[in-house]
Amino acid sequence: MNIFNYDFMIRALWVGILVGLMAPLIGQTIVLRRMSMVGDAVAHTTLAGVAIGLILGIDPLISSLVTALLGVFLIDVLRKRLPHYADVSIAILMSLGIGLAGTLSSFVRDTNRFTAFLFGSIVAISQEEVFLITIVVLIVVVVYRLFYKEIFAMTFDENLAQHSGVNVKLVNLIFMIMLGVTLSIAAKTVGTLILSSLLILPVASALQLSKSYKSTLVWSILFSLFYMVGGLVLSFYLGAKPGGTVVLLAVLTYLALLPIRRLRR
Amino acid sequence: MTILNAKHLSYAYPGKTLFKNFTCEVKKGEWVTFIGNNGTGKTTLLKVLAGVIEPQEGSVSLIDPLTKNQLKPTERVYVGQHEFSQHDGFPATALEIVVSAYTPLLGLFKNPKAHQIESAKAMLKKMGLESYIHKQLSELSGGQRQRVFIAKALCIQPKVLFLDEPSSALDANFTLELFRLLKSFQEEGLTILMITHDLALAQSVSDRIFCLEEVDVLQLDAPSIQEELAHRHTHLGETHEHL
Repeated sequence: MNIFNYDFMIRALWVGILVGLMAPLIGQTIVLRRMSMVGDAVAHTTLAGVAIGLILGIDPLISSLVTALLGVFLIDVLRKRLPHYADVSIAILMSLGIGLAGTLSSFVRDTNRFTAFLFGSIVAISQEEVFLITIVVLIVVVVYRLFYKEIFAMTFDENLAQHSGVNVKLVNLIFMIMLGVTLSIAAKTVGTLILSSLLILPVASALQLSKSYKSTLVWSILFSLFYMVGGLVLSFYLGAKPGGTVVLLAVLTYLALLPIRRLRR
Repeated sequence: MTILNAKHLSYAYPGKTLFKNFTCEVKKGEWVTFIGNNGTGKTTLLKVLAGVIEPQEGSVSLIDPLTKNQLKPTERVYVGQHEFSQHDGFPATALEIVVSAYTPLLGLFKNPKAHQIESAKAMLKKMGLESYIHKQLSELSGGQRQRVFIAKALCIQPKVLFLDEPSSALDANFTLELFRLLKSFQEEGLTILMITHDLALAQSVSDRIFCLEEVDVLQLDAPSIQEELAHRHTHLGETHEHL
């Protein structure tokens, strides 16, 4: 059974590579800004977006993108209102997302399509969606590269960056848009339940090995690609769901890497 | 040639006034030091002067006396007291931190140039961190991290440098070296406003010393500095005896 004999698997691998490339760009900043749970919170708003899309007959990828963007901006507004309790803003959005997704799901007729977003449907992605995801990922990668040094300054210390003359408001806005876009695409591919793992685990793994900010990013991308492609190949031969396999591979690799950091010290 | 002009500055927290109606002019190339007990508002005053926080009353202007232009954020750099003790777990190296000082100077879409990276390395060397250039911040001691942040501030050649207890985590030897280095920058025109608890050190480097007391900010003259030094010496002796 050759994986490359199946068009849907070739498409899945291509999307896996794209998502694997994009997720750590956002994940590194999320992890280092101590906002790891933001992925979970926004994931639930994307699920609410999926429900809205299915009810209104809009492409769920588009409607989840809109709700993901609304979600990240709501987190940002709440974070500024409660500067000492950043985690509260994430918990509030998560509650809102779960409440909305739960309530709206009662009105969705095509429940199979709705539940597909819980665990992802990377092997059921259409050619049009592949095209859309490719364009979006390319834009995110280019924008990230253009704002790399500003994102570094903001991630390191937002107040310090602001005071030293970095346009933190603009950089934060761009970052939040990239976050929303990444999360909605990742929701479609690996599912909302394990979406935050995709942001966090490659970075957490990279932090065990890296020696600088830049090398953390490079390692994160390598780990992310390994998890996505490795998970997809494993799921194909095991007959398991791709989302779960990707995350299990990531968690097991992370656990295997833990002693390395101790050895380095 | 005035570079900093502070007029009628006041700042209070609920139930406590830190300083009231403080006015001062600082000349280009001057070294001004603020001393005072804990909680008297030294850090708040320095932040207000640096433009990090707005004064509740009064105004601060930082204007280049030659060009008459307002100083840009990269020309008036504030190095905080606790910056060096934060950022645990952040994977950036000393060099990455120092090079990031160029970010606002370069503007969007431009990378640091080779000569800027070399300047950053040279500044880290001057700070005695030659063998730590590629070490992560979390691998450095408190004093080494403090030096990284001072290197970051100095490498972009600011016109005014605000230092909040720059030697609090440094050993005596390096404190001396740091102040020699700062003195050489001052001789080239750098204006320094600093907070310290070390009055003897302040006396040896500063052109003027202000003391924060209750709500007043008083400029100390030579006899009052000697008196304060003698008082501190006696007080220290009594404390040692007590211990």
